[in-house]
Amino acid sequence: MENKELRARLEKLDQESIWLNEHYDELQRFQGKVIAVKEGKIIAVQESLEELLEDLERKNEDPAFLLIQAIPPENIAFIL
Amino acid sequence: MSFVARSPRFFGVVEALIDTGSPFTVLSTLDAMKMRLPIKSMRKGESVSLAGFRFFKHNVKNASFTFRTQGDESISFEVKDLGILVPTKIDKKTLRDVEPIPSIIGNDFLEDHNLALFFNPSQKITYLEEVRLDT
Repeated sequence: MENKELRARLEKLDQESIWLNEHYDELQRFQGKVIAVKEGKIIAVQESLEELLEDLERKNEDPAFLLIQAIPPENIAFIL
Repeated sequence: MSFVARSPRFFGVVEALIDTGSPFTVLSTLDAMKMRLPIKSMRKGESVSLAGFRFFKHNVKNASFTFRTQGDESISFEVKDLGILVPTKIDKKTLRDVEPIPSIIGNDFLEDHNLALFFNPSQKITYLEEVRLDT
């Protein structure tokens, strides 16, 4: 991958990450599910990562270059 | 913190947490799976406990992380020993339970590359800064 393309990917990822943070409260309706975000849109929601990866494959999306987030179930907070 | 992670075995984007309390830098099970790493055959390595779950820290050599700088350049750093978090028990329930555990940039990465962390939670500003050491 060329540096220019890499920078474009990183810029897109930064924007998606900001979008995710800004909309985190709204995303609580997906508690316990896994979501994939692309260009400020949720393009897939599934119960598990395995199901999400299958869904993305059907949609011809490369999961390696998508922002994928598991929304923790209600009343569970992770303290690392 | 977002970046592109790559090695001869994987290539993809990662959104990681910077954890100054972690001695290790690790890719989460979710990130490993989304980059199609065969985690079932990677159940070896040091055993670590994280968020109440036990994992093997499967080490990968020759990995690098590429970040975007404030000036819209890309900057890459080698990661000497990148751990992949592989649950000791791999079944549907465990995989679902560990999905929210993020990739982590640990102290090893910050120290190896002389990176300082600036964190201002009230203004939602976080960035890494390369510290030039005068010799």
